[in-house]
Amino acid sequence: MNNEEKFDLSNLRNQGTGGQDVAVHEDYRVIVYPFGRYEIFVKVSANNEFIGIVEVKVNKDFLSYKQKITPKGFHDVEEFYRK
Amino acid sequence: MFYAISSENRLRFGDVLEGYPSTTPVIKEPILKNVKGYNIEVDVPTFSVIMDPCCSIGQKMISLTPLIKVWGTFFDNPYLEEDLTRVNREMEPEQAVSPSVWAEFPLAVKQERLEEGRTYAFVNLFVYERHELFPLYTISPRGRREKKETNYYMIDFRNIYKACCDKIVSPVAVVPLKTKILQLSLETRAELRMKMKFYFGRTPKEDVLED
Repeated sequence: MNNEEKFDLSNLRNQGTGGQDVAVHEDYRVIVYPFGRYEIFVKVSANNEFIGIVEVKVNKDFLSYKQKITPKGFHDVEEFYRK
Repeated sequence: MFYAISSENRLRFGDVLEGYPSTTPVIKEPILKNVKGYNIEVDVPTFSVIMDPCCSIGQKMISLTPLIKVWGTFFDNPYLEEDLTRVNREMEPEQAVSPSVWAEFPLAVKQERLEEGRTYAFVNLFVYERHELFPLYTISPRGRREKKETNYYMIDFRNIYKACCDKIVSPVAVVPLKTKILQLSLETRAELRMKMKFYFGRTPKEDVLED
């Protein structure tokens, strides 16, 4: 077995190098929180502790559920054409 | 242009065909346990129209609807009389009825109808433009309307039926093209698709959330 095969990859990752060090060690996730017309991308820790806001975007899906299922009407005129 | 100048060598959605019988089961009540008898009405319409999307035609099966005569009362509305294929498209509320009917509506009803804006009327119907291949028939006189002849026809989405035919197979080269009479233009086929989409895509009033 040569020296390269002795390396434990996960240990190597955890050692971190240079500018990547912080990012690699940080255990977080980003959740999307809808807020009115906006979507807030919130960064939280593994224990769901607030870390920070990553991004705020405009929600482009402007239709509410009610708007989505509201039918477009039609002219109800058949009775005027039946003999 | 309502119809394509030349037909493609395959069956398409909205094509006018001949040679396909239609059947309608007629029952007095649903048959749950004991078969109490039923009738099956068989008709051979002069022409039928393909109701399958183009890419779903095949597998020895086809969905059709008979081409039927238009309502004579369409001709009581000058807006429609001018071009009966206007039935196929969205229209203003005042255009959906004859001027005399519109004039008799109470103000509140007019307002309610105006709020609908431009949309479809006759949601289940689609009129086929006159064509020399279609036989003329007589529209009976009514009120001020005189007897007249026309060869406008229409389809009713509620009349769709299935026909099984060994000749309806893929690849399209095997399709019985001798039965194909007319093909819709690209624009008309899109209109038919849009109207069917509206007809089947409507949300029932019972499913609409209240404020």
